[in-house]
Amino acid sequence: MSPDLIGLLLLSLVLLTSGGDAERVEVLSAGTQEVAAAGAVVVAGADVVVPAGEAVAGPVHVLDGSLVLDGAVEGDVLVLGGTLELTDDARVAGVVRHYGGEVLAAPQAAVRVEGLDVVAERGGPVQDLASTVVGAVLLGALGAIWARRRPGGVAVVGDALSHHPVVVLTVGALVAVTGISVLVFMAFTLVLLPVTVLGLLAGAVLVGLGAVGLGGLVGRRLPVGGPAATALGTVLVVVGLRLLGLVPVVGDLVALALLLAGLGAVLVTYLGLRSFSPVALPA
Amino acid sequence: MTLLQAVRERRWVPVLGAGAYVAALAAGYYYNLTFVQLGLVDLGTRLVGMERRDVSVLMAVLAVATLVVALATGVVLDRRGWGADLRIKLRVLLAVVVVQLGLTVAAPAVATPRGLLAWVLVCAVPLGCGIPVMFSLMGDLVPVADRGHVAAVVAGLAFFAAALFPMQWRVEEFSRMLAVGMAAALPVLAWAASGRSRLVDLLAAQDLGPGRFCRGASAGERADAGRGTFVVLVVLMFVVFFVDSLGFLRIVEAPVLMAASWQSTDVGVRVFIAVTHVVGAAMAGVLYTAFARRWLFLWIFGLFAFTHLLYTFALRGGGDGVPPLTLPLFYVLAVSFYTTLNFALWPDLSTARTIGLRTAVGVGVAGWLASFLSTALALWSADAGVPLEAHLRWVDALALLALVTVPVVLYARRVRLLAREGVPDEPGPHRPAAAVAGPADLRR
Repeated sequence: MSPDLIGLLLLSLVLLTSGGDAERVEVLSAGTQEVAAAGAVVVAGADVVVPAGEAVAGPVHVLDGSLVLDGAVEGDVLVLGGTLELTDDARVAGVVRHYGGEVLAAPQAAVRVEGLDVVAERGGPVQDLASTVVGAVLLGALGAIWARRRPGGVAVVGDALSHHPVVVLTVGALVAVTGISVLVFMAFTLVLLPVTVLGLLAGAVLVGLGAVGLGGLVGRRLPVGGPAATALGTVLVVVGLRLLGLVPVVGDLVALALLLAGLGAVLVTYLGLRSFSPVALPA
Repeated sequence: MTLLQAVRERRWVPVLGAGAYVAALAAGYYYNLTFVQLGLVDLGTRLVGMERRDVSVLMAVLAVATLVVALATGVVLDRRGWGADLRIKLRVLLAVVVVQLGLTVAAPAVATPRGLLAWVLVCAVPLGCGIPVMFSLMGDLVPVADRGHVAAVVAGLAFFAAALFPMQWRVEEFSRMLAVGMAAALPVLAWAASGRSRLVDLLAAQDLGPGRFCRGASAGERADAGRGTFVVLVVLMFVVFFVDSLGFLRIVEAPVLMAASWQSTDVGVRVFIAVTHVVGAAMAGVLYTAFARRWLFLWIFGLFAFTHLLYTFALRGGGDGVPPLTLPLFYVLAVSFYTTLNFALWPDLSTARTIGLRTAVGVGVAGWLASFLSTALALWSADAGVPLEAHLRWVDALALLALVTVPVVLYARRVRLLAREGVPDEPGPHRPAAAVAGPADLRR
């Protein structure tokens, strides 16, 4: 499951549960399936068919994969990705809202489609630049605040990164893979959806702190000192990560490894509160 | 001296020793994973025509017989001091491989239940002898600081090969492939065991000292060093192996999950699993070397609990296509973690005087007995018609119980230690002196 799909899935689950539209949500993420007499349905990677003569209460969200509607949906259908195919016999009592993906409607399909052309347009270079600058400034400010309030903290994270890169990368990768999967799994329970959102926010903060840790390392080599060095270093790290993203595959992998190592360094140092040293082994 | 230092200083003896250990244990583990565990099921059900329930009984017989032989071998190694004698262990290993080669070649010819029982009983002898001998070689050949990494290489290689080869899980194919491999290794092993190898002499002269968890104890205490910890770890590893095999066999044989398992016909899925095994083992090696073992156990139990929840979830909501690769991803990570731990842990909990019995108990009880008992239980459950979802619910329950138990036990142990030490006499910053100045028995 890609990060984009995870985001869409969380958005979808929040929409379905916050409005009180659904007490039970079926998330279909893999395989080919026929769905009938279901409540709310989220198509997140599966190839789903609602057969002729069958009805789904809805709402139905299509995020990835495909939905072939040969029967009826009593509520609304929201298409954010994937493909929605409406046959001649298809009937949607509510509205089909098309914001992303593809909607293929047969002429006789009894549906009302409302769409917005807001998706699939990737931002231009100016937008990219603006988001990079905003991200760099925000993280730089975070770095400056952290370095001012707890000067040793950034240094401790930086030391873990520079002295034990393999260990912190391993911890970061493991926590990221497990953490994301556990959070998505929790989101499926609906009850724990707020915990998932909090968890993702906490994860984002930890990754941000990791980037500041990397920035602290870069800042050591700059001619300025104190919190300014951390802030400037962090800005350079954000710009560097963005530039790495321009290199296909390898650049993305290196950027990901750096972020994961930062995350691992923040974790093994208890948010920079304690320096990390591996267990002592006899040589 | 670590292996990296040895390479930098061009001292090749320790490097060759560790390399030989990796090759031998990876091959041995591959043999165990494929031929013994999976080949026996195929041999019993398809060639001999036995019921799965009867095959599960045979597996239990093999587990118990192997354990008995392993324990006896471990005791002999320790009592006679052979645990510290590299040359003797190589000779035993040579005998083990010769007998196993014969058994491997003979396996496809077994045609009756009685013949299979005899084959199983004979098979238990080299397997049982091989466990303490093979695992204790780490104490002779791998420096303490490198054991996590070396164990990771062994686990990665064995699982990589097992996930990719062979294409058909049939005993005839296993037999052909493994017989060729063993026959090729025999001359090298015979040369090493002959007593005329200068390299073996140099390796035998290395003094790598006691295991990582026995350091600090005086020479007299080393025989008992970490006995309590050893028992706890045997129990923990038993649970890990038991949970794994209990779920694994039913999962790989469930048509709905097979497409994302080792038995997938899609090479891409198997390559994914094989590579994840290598990455998982490498991660485990790094963590074993850098962190205290309690963290590793928490990760392992956490991963297993989450993995089995994922499988149960997929069974409830999945369709008839390929299940998401998240399922094998977590399964493989968990298996690679505990296998790496299993390779390094027992030698690190031993000294030269205790390595025979401790590796026999560690690998025999925690590994073999748990694996085969749970495999037998899984076969029985399939034969008794227990639905996969109900079966996995039990596996879920066990995995979650283990996950909760570990931190609770660790915490309780800490509390007990603090209780023994007593409450500090100095009042804390928010505590009046009277609050801590209770009767002595209350502070114990």
